[in-house]
Amino acid sequence: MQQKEYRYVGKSLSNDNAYGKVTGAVQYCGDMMAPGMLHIKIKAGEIAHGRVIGADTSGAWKVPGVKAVYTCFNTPDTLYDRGRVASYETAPFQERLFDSHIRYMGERVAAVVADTVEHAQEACRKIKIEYETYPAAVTVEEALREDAPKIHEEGNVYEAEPAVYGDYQSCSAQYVHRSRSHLGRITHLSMETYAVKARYEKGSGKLTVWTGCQTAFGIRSTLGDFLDMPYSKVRVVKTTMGGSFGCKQETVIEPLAAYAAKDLKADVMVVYTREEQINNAMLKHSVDLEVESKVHGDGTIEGMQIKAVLDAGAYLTVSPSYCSVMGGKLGKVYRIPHLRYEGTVVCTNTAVNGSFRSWGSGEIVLAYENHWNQVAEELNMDPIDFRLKNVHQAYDLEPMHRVTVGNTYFHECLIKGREAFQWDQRKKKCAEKNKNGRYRYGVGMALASHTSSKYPYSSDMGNALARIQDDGSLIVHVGIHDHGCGTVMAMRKIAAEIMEIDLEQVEVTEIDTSVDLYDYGCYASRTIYILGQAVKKCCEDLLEKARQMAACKLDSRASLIKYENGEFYKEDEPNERLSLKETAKYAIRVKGEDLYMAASVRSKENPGVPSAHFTQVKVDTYSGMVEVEDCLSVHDVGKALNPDLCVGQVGSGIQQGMGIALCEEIKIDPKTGRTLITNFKNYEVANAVDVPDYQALFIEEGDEYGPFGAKSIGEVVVVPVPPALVAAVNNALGTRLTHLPLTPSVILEAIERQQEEKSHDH
Amino acid sequence: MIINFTVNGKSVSMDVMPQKRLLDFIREDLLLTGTKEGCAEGECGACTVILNKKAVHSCLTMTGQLDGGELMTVEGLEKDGELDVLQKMFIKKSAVQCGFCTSGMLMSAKALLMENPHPTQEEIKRAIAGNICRCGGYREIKEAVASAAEMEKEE
Repeated sequence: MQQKEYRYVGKSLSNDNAYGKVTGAVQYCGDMMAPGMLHIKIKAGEIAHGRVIGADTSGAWKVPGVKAVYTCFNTPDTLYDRGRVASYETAPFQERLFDSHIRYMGERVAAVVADTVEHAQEACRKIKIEYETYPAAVTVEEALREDAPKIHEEGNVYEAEPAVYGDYQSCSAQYVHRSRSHLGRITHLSMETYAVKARYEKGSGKLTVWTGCQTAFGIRSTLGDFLDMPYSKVRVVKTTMGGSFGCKQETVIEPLAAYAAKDLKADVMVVYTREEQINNAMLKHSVDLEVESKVHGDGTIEGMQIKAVLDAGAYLTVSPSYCSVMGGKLGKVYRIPHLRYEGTVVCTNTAVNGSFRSWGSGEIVLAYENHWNQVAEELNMDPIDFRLKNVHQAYDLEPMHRVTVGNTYFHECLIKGREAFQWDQRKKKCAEKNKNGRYRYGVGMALASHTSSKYPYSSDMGNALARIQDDGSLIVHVGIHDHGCGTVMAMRKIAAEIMEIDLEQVEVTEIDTSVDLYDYGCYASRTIYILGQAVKKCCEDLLEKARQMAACKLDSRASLIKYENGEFYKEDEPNERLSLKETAKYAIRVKGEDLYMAASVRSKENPGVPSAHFTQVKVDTYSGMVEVEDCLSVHDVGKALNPDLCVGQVGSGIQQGMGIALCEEIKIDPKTGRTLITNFKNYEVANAVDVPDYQALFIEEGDEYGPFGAKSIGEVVVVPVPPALVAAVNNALGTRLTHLPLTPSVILEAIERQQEEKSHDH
Repeated sequence: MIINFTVNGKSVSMDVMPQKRLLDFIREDLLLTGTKEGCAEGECGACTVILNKKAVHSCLTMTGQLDGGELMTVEGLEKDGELDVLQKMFIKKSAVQCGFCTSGMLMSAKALLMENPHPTQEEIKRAIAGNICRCGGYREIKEAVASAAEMEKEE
């Protein structure tokens, strides 16, 4: 692709609203105080499974300032689903505001609305709930038993439709290899917990909900249906978001806030504590993965089969869909003639699991990358060489969805990464250093890809509305939900680039359902690829409209009017210039026209985003601690619109990937179903000392549809990191550990086992 | 209880509940919402403020401890419309993503530079080790702090 010098695109210009964030001036939802606003606090249940048979709220009502006390006895029985992101989606619909059937320890059983947080909290403590307890199924094994207690009437188990390409059972090759991997639950750890503010206006009957969400229209439809209100009367406004990583994709606490606001005709606010955020939002699934492959002697893959079992927790929510999507992601990286995926979702009496950054890519890639690293070892091949034999070429068919992988560069990711990381030299050095001593060194790598759109899972469109103001500045309305990673900045750059005006003249508004055209939500890494295309097309069309207006003013034809740096001029009279401001004023005053444009784009492709991660670790055989010494991520992003913020995304992928692979796990007590970690004290996360000064390399060959060639980066960054780290630890120790996280105790145990085996051998 | 203290350079005398968490006092009574709550137990650093020239977790500090003290919050970094060099470098080095950890990070870094204007890389790392950033911007944040120290040296 021809590389053009842009004004803003591809320049590192920091983040949108960075000034507001460094001065503390930006308001997040929890900062939006209002006079007379009421506060909601929630009471957590104390059983893992059972029924609420009574609620004594008299004590709560004695606390001053209490306006409402809600339980299953005085709230609607209406079912909804937190995971539904559009009005037309089918979903399990198993949740109620307060259900008499309690399905996990800590599930909400009551809530209080009061004048202060303290009063609401005190009143919650005074509510007495009477339970009838049922036997609980805490583990997947328990819930799968034939005589298992029924967590839902429809049963505990959901089988996904197998995803199939070719005929795995019948295909054959010289080697058959089997492996297993396991991922534990983790918490998203968005620094901002859930916060929702809701206002119901008695006069107009309008409901407004502010939330730092990913799916404003999805939330609107859930609230409209739940409260039986026309969608036109429900307004959802996305506030500045203090991180999501998937947890703010779902409609978790909005229904309660909206219900209370409507019931009390008031402004209400609910902010989750960290404990609630861990136990009552959702966690990343715990997954067991079984992989079998058939591979030829030269390393060519003939077939692969994966079986996955996901623990959904107490409610199915997104899990059936998540499980199916995992199968759909089987064919994104390698050319494999025969693929088969079987997924099972199991409900247990534990905290709910749900949406997490990369939606299945992380799980499925971990399974097969752990597997391929073992296969390469079996075949005595370098893992990079093994991959080079099997990866997709540009425009290969992505077999599960019958679309192409687009203009992708898997080979280049591997080759550039190998060179930049000095893979071969490091590998050799590590092996030499491991001959003796307390520390063992290892290198590991993994490859991944992800989506840029949700096409063809379903259609994907992007809408934008741009308006030139009468001073020549520009407002762009686009249904965007910036997660904090710079998507608004990217849209501003796209608009400013097309309109050839100063970046400061462009305002991009985040989603507000009362003014924006429809948007599905910012997930599936679709924001830049789809909404970016919409903004680009909208600005291009708007510029044409302005050109026609300028032609009128300049007594010429649009085809003869040139545009440069925000000014129109006739080709033959380059000195007579008409600015956008003058054009807009002329349009309003003389022609009676507003210079605005709305545009829609529909995705026809879903290009892959190859991503290779290379890492080197140092394992302390005395303590079991793993230090990540250095790492490199190579990403084929098409075009980095915000190179600085793309590097930032890579950092977050590494930080989270280190957590998944090495230290983070929310454990559940197998006896009681209690979530054992509900704070940060006992939850290990990678901090500024742990995360190395990583390197990031971008391949920018340009996609044919993406804005200025851009594809996606937001989710894929985390995907190859855990399997690369697993490989590095195994390389260091000579083990095949795949049960994550590889905590010091897991590593020490493996070393002990190794020593025992050695002594048996002697 | 009436206490006297300064907040971001201004002297204040207020009737307060001494047992209230300093974090809530700052947000609800001083209406300075730049200070954030991340975990409420001193583990994430989002609520870090500077009290008597030391970085403290405002979620673990009681309002009564403010008496006679000097409090600085993120809102106090900018002086007369001029950003603190740390703020400038956070912007310049693209160390700001979702921003929820940013005020705490800035205050930890400010406390470090107040005590040790020329920190080593290792000292910078340790100073912000108690501040979690899930957007993973540690590399950029460290660079921003180092550049700020460098800039102050030049001035």
